[in-house]
Amino acid sequence: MNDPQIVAMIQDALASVAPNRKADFAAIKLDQTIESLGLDSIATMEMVGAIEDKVSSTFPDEELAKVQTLGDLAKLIRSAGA
Amino acid sequence: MLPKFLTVAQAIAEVGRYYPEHDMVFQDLAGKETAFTFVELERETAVRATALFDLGLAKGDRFGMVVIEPEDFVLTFLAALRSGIVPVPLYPPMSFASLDAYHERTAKVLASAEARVVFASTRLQNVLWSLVDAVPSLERLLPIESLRGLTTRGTLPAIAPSDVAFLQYTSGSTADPKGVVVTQGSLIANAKGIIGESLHLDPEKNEKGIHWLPLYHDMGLIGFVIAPLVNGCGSVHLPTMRFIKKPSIWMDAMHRHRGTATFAPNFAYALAMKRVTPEDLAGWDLSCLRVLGCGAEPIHPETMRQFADLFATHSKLPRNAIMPAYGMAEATLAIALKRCDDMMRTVIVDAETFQQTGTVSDPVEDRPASEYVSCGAPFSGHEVSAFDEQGNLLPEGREGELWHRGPSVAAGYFRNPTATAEAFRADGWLRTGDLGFVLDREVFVTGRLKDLIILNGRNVHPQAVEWEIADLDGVRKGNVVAFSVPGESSEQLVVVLETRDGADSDAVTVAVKAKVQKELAITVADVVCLGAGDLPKTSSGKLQRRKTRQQYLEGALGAEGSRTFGATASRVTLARHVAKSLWSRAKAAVL
Repeated sequence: MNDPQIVAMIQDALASVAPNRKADFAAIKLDQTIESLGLDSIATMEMVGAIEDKVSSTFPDEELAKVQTLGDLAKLIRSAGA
Repeated sequence: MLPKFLTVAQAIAEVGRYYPEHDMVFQDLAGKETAFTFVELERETAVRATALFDLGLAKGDRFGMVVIEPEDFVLTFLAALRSGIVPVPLYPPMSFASLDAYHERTAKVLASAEARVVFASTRLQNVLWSLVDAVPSLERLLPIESLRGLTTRGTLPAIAPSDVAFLQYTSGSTADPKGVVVTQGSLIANAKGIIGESLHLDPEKNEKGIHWLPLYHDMGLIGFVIAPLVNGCGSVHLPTMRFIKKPSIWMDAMHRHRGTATFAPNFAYALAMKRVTPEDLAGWDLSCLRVLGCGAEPIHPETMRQFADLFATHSKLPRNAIMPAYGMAEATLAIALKRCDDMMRTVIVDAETFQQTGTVSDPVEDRPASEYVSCGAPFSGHEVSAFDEQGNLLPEGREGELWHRGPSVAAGYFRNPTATAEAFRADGWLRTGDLGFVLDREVFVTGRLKDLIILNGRNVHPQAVEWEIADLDGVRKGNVVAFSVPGESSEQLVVVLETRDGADSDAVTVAVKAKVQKELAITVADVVCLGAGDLPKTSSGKLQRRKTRQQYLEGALGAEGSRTFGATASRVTLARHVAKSLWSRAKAAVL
């Protein structure tokens, strides 16, 4: 999966979690932090769940705990074989 | 027929004689389920209790638990209840949040409890090690997994109803943690009220509770570990994080296990509705689900009605399953619950009269109305009444602070006489800090006297937010107020602050949101930047949180008032809209 494909996957997940903020997520970049997305902790985990569904995998909690940026999340997505 | 157990310890030891095949089922993070029959549960908890003594812990000693997997958590917690060693459940660190604030809070709680040992999931060990240095009483950090697979079983001590069962730490501020002392007797009294008088779970029909609630919180721990067990009923425990990631596991488990009862905060019902697919709905038969409890945060009747409509139409959910609930850790868990076969009841009142006089009166055409949800009557042997600020009992239909009295009231806060004296009165009344009224003996909660913020069922002390922001660049030190306002399915956090001369409000707003997100994993919905001296203060210069909130909701904050109106206008309009539609509904009598 290349970067634009992963960005699109994250955007899809974000849109499903916060449909009314779709415009905010149009220009997300892999080097930005998760917290800069402005999601609360529940919505953040919802987004992760939506991505896990897409790649049919469960990310280990200890790996998730280390995720700071969307790029870190991209690495997890790739390691799931996507 | 079950005997009347006097303690939870006795219930765990003996319930297997009456219902040997009933069980507790634990789902792990991967979705795999393991069942323990009540006979196996008796054996496993006795072995684990023996192991706790073998570690040198004695009856009355405290130990912390930071455990992710429901199986390890519940087996160890119940073992402690049989041993008289006192567990202190703690929440695990959250993903994507800074560990500093977590460490500070956890260390304060462990120090307050004077815990000697902490059991934690192996994968959390390296994150928690520094606690041993930070907490003077703490001798050891042990992996919870070390209690698995043991076989030695020793003699367990006698446990009395007055013995401390566990400490439930509440939202108290970081500086002053408050650990509710829950006794074996108050657990039994509350469990009897919940199951016997309200839910009516029948062990003869193998009725059972299923939930994904965090086990370090009273609603999951008492509502689904203790209450079904002491009444002979089975339970299924799903990991909280699995539900958040994949909400469909909740109703899916209800369907597969033929669940009878479940509970969750309001936001979870909105989340489950948002994520459900037509295939899910068509595939589930929820005709078994008699109790759909809603509590731990303000209940939006509209969310619950929508949920009942959707799942009744497609998945055979009984429409009267919705059960609004009111409770708090200081009352062990439940204070009032709807009776299980009734429909959810609400009252609609004239909003202005209620706000200004605190009196319930019929709505008036073309004027705003407010709707309040009944949480049912208190259990037998318990009382709930509203009191005014001078401590005078108010008649029915008048808003005041709700006070609660009866055998479920806990024994105070652990080694905190000041906080105990404030909440637990000598005459037996517990001051709940919640505002509400009583009508036809039923309890209606309308707001809070205390400034507690509840976000997605999680209690947040406003000071915790304010402290994070106090020292930010551009903020006038200490001139920060945090509070919550009603949001779509939960509450929303608002921060109002004064900026220094020349500070860039946009930059301060971004910094505030980032800091709170990072340290507390909470999203700030709105930041309002005011000039020096614009925050409402008392004559002695103390910040006034409630007045600030009121002005925010009215769009009247700051020197010019109207300049903050943009942020609140939509909410005010929405409130008017809701009030109008409520009025139409009342008129059409479709409630």
